[in-house]
Amino acid sequence: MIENRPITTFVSHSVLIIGVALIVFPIWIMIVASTHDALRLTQVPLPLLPGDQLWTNLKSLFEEKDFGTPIHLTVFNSLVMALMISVGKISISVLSAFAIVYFKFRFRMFFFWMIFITLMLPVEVRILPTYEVVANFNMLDSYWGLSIPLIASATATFMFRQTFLTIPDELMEASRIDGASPMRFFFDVVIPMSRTNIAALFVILFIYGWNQYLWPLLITTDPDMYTAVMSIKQMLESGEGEPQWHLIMLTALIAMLPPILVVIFMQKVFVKGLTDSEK
Amino acid sequence: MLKRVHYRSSYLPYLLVAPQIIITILFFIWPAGQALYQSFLLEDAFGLSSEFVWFDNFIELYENPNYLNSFARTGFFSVAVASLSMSFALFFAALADRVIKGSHTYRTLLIIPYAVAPVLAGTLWLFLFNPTLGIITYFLDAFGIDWNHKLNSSQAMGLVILAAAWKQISYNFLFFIAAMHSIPKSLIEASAIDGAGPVHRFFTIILPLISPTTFFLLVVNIIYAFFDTFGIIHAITAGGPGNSTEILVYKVYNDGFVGLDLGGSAAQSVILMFIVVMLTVVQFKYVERKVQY
Amino acid sequence: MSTIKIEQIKKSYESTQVIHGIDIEINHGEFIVLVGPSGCGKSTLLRMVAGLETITEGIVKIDDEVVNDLEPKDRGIAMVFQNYALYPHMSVYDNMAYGLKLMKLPKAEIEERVQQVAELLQIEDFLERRPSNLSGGQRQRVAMGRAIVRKPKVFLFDEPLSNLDAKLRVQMRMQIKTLQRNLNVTTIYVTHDQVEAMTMADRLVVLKDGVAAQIGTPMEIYDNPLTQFVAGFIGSPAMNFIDCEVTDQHILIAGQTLTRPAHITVRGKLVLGVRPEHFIESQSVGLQGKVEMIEKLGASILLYVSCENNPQPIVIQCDNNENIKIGDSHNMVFDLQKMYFFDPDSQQRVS
Repeated sequence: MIENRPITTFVSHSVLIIGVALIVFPIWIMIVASTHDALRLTQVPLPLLPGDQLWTNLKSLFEEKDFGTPIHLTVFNSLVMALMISVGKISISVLSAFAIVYFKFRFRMFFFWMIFITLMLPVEVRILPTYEVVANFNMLDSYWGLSIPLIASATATFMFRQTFLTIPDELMEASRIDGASPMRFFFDVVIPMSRTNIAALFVILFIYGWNQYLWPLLITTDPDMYTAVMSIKQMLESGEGEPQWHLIMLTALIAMLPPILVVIFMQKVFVKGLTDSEK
Repeated sequence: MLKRVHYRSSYLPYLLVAPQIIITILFFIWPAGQALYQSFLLEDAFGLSSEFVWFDNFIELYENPNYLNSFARTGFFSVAVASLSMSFALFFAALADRVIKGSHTYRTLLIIPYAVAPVLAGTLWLFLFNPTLGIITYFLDAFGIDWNHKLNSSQAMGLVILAAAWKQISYNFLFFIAAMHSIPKSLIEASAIDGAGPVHRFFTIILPLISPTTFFLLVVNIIYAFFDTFGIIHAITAGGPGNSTEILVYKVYNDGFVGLDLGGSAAQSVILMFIVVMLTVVQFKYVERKVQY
Repeated sequence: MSTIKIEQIKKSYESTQVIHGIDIEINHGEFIVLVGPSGCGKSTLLRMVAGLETITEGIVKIDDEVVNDLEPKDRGIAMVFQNYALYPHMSVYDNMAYGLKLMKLPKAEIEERVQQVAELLQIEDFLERRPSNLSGGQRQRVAMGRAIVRKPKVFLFDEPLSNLDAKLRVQMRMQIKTLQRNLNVTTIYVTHDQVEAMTMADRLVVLKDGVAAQIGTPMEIYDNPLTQFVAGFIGSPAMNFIDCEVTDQHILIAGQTLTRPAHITVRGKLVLGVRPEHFIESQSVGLQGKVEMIEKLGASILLYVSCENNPQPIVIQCDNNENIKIGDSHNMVFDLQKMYFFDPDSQQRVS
């Protein structure tokens, strides 16, 4: 800050606090709602402060089958899907970026453009035919079906390409003189030097994978394959009359907790990776 | 910038690109081709027979007021989401850029919506604005506003815009603050010496200097509003009431999976792909320009 | 014994040829410096010896073995890069041991070798540190250590000192030279800095536009430059070049007429080259000019003397003399033994 203006600073802080409170308000209400019982959540006005029913609600999510798949199963499915997508995406993109940056070979530009155009086709746009392909491979209701169609990503390949281009050429030459083969160089130098990017990308992709909704909604029909995020919709629609808001909110809380924790605890690397990757 | 030196190997690079290329072909290029092919077919609902009808599906879309309305609606929706989310994010970023103490805490709280799945974001806002129970509905009632997005289509649109903008604030905030941090401090100091106050400085120095980021975010936000808001709409309104919140992506899904109009849905996919390609080209044109700076 | 033979080496990138057939024979233990302005092909030549660039035409032999198609690691070379090229994520120890590990040497031997070299270079105290925690000079020594520890037949240096500050550069110059002499390893060293080249080289190769303009010991080249380019490039401050015409009686120079000294046998329109240090104090009549600027170096001073009809001021190095003032007229007398004449068209020396 250039000049010291206590009043401006005070106003800035006040406005920020109000703004942040507004942004966090829905989250807060969710937490509050998940700590009350069903009855309290039918009485207007709804509570603004937490109750004492969290434990009871939690138990019913684990035990009762009336609300669909038990929460630990859906969370496990989400975890598997998110990890498969993030690890898969990082692996295939880091390999292809390495090839494109460090090798000269026929069709290099052709492959590059082929990967490039996938940037332009989000899954929502090609949803029907992709569904058919997955169905033909018998991958409906499987972890493979949930993850593989989502793991080809131009964004990750581009990000690694950018990173690799900043590694000095001399390192590759030094490693050649040291007697390292291309793959040795890849594992001994390129990968360790891309650690931060890999971590940042992992955060972004984990969230991307965990938060998938339309895709799992389409390709899973077996309740045992439901993911945490998509189970919300079932709960909103299931049952007669008013939805079970206390359980819905608790499920929502559990379903958004892992990505929120990942983003908060890896904040530094995530923010850097996110804002750098778009440059 | 490219490497000056390369490895030479006859098979290794092909092996390295193979996984990504195979997946790209199977799950991107082939389905996209299929969509293109199907968009020229007229299929009955059971997939028993199909007929090649050239551009009939597209012509039908063009003549279908429902589709054209959805197009206009999507345009309005995305512009509203982008401007709402970006102005709030810019406002917060400008304030957070000024304060030193606590800026980390503000950031931590402000990035939370980024991690929330669209459908969950939708569920939260649905709960807040629940016509009978919602807390905000309750307050609005005190002001004499009768809220029921299940019946009132402009309220429905307002709610999905609000939810979609909320979720995107984190992303915009992070980029704005990064852009502001990258402005050389000496420039700000120079303008302070020239006698510009904080507000004046924001509009004459900071805002023009971060305009590339603003433009970049505009494109990203529009792409987001077009394609990543499916979950929000699915949770809050499911396109209703009537078709009042049915944006293009939602319509592809609705016509294809619910209505089983495969040809029509495929034609819509093709149009969407075309839009993404256009937006991406715009974005990359801009990135290219930025590289030259 | 390790000798290097470079025979008729040529290099082209697509259609542009950057090296036009260079021959150099290097004896065992010799310190060869490739020097020239940027873009002269000196680094490319070094990298071809290293095996980092393919050789378009010609042969490189190390110990009489043709190495054109050998991988860098199989050529028995070690290289120090301009930016050091240390692996940033490895400790100093691992940086030095990496190549040895890839050679599959036993662990004990690796440790012993690294320790030895670290002591030699006085970097044993920071073996566990990362390169980013080292100063420029320390990094430079680690890069040397990584080269030495391989026990190569040939050292290759690619402008290793250009990232250091001036004082450190002088220090490291001496260290490298001493080290090379003690280890007695054949060395090729690339630099664009002619002082570095003069002080370090056993023999110099002055390169220009992909051609070896002259090969010889530093003093040979200093005393006996074959072309105007070499004369101007080697020696600091650089040689003065003055257009002149030599007739039977006179030398017409900068609009003035001087008597032709008897031992000058060439005739015609030529370029006279005189080093700043080759002017003498004398009462005899020399070239007249006006002192435009004085640079005090301490022990000596540089005079910039302008003459009519000569575009560049003439630089003269002389002993510190408080009596000379800006604006004084100055009598410049050449050391008759140290006058060089060049043909203005071919740039070749004619005397």
